[in-house]
Amino acid sequence: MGHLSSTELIDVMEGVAPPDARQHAARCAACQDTLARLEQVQRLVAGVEVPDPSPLFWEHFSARVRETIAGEPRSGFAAAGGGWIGWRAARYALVAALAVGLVAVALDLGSRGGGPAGTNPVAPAVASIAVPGATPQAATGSVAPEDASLDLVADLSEDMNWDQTADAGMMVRAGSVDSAIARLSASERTALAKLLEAQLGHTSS
Amino acid sequence: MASRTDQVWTGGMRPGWTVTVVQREAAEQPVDAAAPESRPLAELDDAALVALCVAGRREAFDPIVARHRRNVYQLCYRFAGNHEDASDFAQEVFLRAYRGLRSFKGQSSLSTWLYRIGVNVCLNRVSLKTPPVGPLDESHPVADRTEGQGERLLRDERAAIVRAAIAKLPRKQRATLILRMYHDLPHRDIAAILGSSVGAVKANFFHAMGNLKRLLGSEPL
Ligand SMILES: [Zn+2]
Repeated sequence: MGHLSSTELIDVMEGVAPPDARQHAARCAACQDTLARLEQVQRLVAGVEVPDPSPLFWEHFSARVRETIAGEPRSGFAAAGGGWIGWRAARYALVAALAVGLVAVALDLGSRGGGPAGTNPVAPAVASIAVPGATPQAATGSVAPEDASLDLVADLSEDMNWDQTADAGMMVRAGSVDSAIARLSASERTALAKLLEAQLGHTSS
Repeated sequence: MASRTDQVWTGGMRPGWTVTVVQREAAEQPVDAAAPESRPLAELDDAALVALCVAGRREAFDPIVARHRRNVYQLCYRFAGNHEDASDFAQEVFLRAYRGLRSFKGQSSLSTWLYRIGVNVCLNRVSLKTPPVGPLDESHPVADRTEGQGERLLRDERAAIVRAAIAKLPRKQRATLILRMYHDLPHRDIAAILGSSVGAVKANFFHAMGNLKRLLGSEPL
């Protein structure tokens, strides 16, 4: 075996080298000499500290950053929706909005007496619908039916241009579907139940 | 994580039917929108704060700054060599980070991402300035200056010499050495920050140490 390479020497210095490299370093005077020099520099460099600024500095620093970003445009930040969480959040929020829209359509149909009539004769005793981004509650003991309802919404939204929808002001807060549904009247909830029943029966058949 | 039931509707339905709407705080839920908005910002993790920022809540950037400002400042000081420039660079790092939050994919930690921005800012800004500290006097190696001076004076002087030597390193060697020695970043993270391989980072680190040894006044490695 030749002398240790630069990466092997670094590994030996940091204590992460494989056994054969460590064994070579233990018996090779040249590599030991190099390692000793490395460690000498390491000690010198490690001893150099950054002077701590005044305790007041940090608050002033934060305040300056705050002032600076206050001048940054806020609009379009979320709207572009191209970022890590942003894109996904926007997508789910929009799907949630579409879900609410679906309910509204159902209510409208119900009020005209033209609501979906098909029911599934073997429908489960308990049905659950999950809010987008959520999962059905296990405590209900039901099979998750969100595929049926949410896939429909997802299909509708699949080809949307997110930048355009955002620019058009269609951004919706995730969770708004909760409050929207909570405001339904008893008759509206009945219509919702019928809609879900019909949709689930349709997709499971 | 436990589920909670938000609404249960039973009235007016076919017998035997219950429609239950549940919301669960799932790990993969993109934005746990209700929870972050109802908790103090300082209690949220970086990912939740980033999400709120992207959603337009500027104030969610405050805890991010508070959490990372010391590391960012220290990184900048390592490059700049003085408080004024370090403060200025660090401010630019956070401004760039804020502007770029949309492009932050979450593939690395926020701190690693900030380091990456920091290295870029520092290398660009430092290259536009004159050397941050005086030229290293190579005729007086550090090892010769160990007698007749107080501890503090010696430490300060030695620190200035080492900083000057580091400032003379090639850019990637300098960045590698700073991230490894002073921020204890794994080689893998440094590779991601510098766009190099782990092997290249280790080689850069080795050559940085060798060059420092030469600059600090002893025979080369
Ligand atoms: Zn050897």
